[in-house]
Amino acid sequence: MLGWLTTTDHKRIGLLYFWATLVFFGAGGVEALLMRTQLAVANNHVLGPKTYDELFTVHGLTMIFWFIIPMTTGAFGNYLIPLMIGARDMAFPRLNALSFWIFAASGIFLYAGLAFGAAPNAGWFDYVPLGSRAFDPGRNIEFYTLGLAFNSLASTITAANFIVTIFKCRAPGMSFNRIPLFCFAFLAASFGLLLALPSLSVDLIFLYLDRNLGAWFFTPLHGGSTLLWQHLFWFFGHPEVYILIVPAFGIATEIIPAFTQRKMIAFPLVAIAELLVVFIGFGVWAHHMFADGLPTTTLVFFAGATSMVVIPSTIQVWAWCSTIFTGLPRFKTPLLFIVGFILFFVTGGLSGVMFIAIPFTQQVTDTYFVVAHFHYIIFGAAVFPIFGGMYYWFPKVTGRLYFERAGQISFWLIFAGTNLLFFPMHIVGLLGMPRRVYTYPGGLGWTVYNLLETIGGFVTLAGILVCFGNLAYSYFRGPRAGPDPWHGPTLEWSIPSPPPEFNFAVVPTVSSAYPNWDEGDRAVDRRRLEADQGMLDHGHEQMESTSVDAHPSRITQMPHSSPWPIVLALCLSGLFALLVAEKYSVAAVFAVLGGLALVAWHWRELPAREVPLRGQPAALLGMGTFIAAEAALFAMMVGTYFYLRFKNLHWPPPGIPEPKVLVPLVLLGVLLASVVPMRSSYRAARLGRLARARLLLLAALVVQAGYFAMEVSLYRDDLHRFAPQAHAYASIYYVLLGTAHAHVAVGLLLSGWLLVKLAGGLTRFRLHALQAIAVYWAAVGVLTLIATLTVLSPAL
Amino acid sequence: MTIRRLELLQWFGFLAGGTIWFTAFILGVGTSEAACNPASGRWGIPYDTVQIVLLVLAALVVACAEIAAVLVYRSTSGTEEEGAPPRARMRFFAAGAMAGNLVFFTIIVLTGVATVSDRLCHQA
Repeated sequence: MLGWLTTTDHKRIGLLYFWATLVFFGAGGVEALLMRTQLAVANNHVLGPKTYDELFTVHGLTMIFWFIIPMTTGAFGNYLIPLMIGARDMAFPRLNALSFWIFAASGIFLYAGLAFGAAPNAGWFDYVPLGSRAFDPGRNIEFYTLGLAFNSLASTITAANFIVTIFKCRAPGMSFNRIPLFCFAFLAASFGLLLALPSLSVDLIFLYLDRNLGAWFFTPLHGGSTLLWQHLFWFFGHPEVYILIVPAFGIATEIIPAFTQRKMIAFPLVAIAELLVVFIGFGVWAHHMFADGLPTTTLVFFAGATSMVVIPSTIQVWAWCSTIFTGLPRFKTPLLFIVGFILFFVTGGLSGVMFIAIPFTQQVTDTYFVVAHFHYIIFGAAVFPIFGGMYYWFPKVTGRLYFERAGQISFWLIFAGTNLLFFPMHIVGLLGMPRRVYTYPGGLGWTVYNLLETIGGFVTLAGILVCFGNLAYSYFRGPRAGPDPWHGPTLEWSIPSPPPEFNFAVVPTVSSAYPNWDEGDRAVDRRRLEADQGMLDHGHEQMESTSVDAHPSRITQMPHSSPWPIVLALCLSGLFALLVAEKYSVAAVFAVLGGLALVAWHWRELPAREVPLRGQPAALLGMGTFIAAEAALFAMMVGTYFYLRFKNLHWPPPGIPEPKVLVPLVLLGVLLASVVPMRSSYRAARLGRLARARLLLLAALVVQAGYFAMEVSLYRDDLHRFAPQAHAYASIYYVLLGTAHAHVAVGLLLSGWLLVKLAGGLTRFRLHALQAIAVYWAAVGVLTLIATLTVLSPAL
Repeated sequence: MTIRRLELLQWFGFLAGGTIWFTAFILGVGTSEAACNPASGRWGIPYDTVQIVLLVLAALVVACAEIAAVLVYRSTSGTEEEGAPPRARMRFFAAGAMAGNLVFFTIIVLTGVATVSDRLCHQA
């Protein structure tokens, strides 16, 4: 038991994700069936309106944030990506464990709201003013804002970890043109998560401040904007759809070659299409706002991008179908689920294309037609590959085969049930049935369709039960699978089932994107094993490689099990729970405890047997991903500032003085100048001049601390002149500057911690830390520059 | 062409199209919002001029990126798709960039022409 709580092994963490997300899937499924039972007939009273509101909100949140994302990235990604790229583990194993425990705690947090009768109840998108204090005075929305912020933390950490793992931990030879398509898909989804989640986080922070501290981000009377919520939410929300679906593409691109014994047609185009879908997905957010009355000159940008995001999706559909038609397809259960996925994806995609027409969207918005469309995509297209993937990799994870006939029965039940459940929603939506209503009157022609949908829901449930019953029975009684029952194309099929703790006995040889089909390379591996070559057997070692062409870069020592991830997650749980309870001082105690857990986490350094060959360490790329997420956060805040400024005739409004310019600009110059001694400190450390490095670091720290003290003093002076509750101008002014100052404070803590560590001498770990912290300060300088110039702009 | 030069062309071809599209997209949307909101609407933003400049500039950069991708693709002809880097990797990125840049070019032209020809601030 203790081993599971403190594990940092990617396979165990993948399994923990799998079981936890199944629990949430069950909860979300029960909520869906309760709603379908309520809507089966007109004027039904199984559920009241209050309960119904909570159920459809929690159902949406659960299925998106606590089932599909963690099932694909958390379970499939964690278990499979290191195996597919020939790695020992993820790049940051303890962070990996932390992201799981935060994810699990955030789910418990959300459902605690349901248990306390205060579950989120304003829809998964929580539009304001519905979600504002005036219309939702309970603590329901706090469970939403804090629960999602908590969950976003886990997803961001996971995404950063995947990016660094895929860039830095590939087996030698796995250059970018040889990365399995599954990994491309997860890379795209991870970039999407990393850059989209900050927008949601900013939105959640604004709403929390509006509701709890009297800020005015979303109230037009005080300079705010209700549409601001939608812009920020959908800037996250639409890439989110692709984040859900792209891992499904990845699963499809693994199953199709295995069951047709043919490499994917147009490999480079499919790989790039996976990246393009997510990238263009960042330019379509306002197509969720076509009914808001925005100017058409604005909306055409989104209509254009929406129409073209179809192209990379179409490339993939064409490649999947062509590979199946030109290969030797064996329609076993995994491939059946993928065929079902393609059908659902095309159907849902076609109804999606219809929304490009702005007048059509305005007719069907908020009807069941929209519900039908996104369930075809999110259940039909995103979840079907998950079922297919469960069947496909079941033998690898358990070492046993599932029963094929029962598998096929489960497919047909789920396929038929899903169509029966969601297809009539198109019709009833065109007939005018609105979404989010807990009941409806008879005589409108809606009842028969609703009844069919409910029957479809229970047929789907039967199929899902057959699926899990089959897998559970097979786990105990299934025939032995052997290492490679499907003649699979990727590296995980080259090792025993289930995989050993160390994954690969030798660092694998790779010369194509389908390395398990390269018999020559596998024979080379066997010979190297017999000759004791290419083995990483000095503890828990990992080979790092260069980012683009995967040349060997260094051999690093990885952490074993650690108690600190779960301890830190517990501290964060306490922090978030106490924020809901409005016990801010006790919450601060948990924040401090979390900080201490972080110090303990990093206190003991791993025994150094690091062999540097070339290239930068993974830690630097890790810092790069963190900075990218922070830059996105600042971009959203700066965007908010100008969005609100466009709407307000007076900025700052009457009664609030213009910002002072001179002192902040001088201070800014001081902060930027401190980047120089930071860089010099790293250079000195690299040359082995420890005393000089410490001195320069101390000098930079003194300057930065002085900057921080002066800025805090100015901030307090401003608070005496006008309150954050005065106007939306004041709210964004204090939040933007406060965020910049918080980043400086974190930098001070990091530099101080490093200074203490350097007192004990210079190690490679400390050198990497110094390099990463120097980069952090450079980024903080740039971000603070942008934030400061933004808030000073009315006076410039 | 040297490997070093091909490498630069490969990254330009792969990254420039997407970068310029997203930049022009954000600036275009921002200008539209600025032109049509009550406060910033009084600033007298030359909307059509800004959009035409963005359209032309972005289209030119994407066209250059497409040319770079084609050059790399042609220079690496005869290289196996899954061959050893750097040539096979360059060909891989060039193939993707050729498709991606066409998509970006189409979006830029579609939206640029539509937003200039549409009546400014006409509510949807």
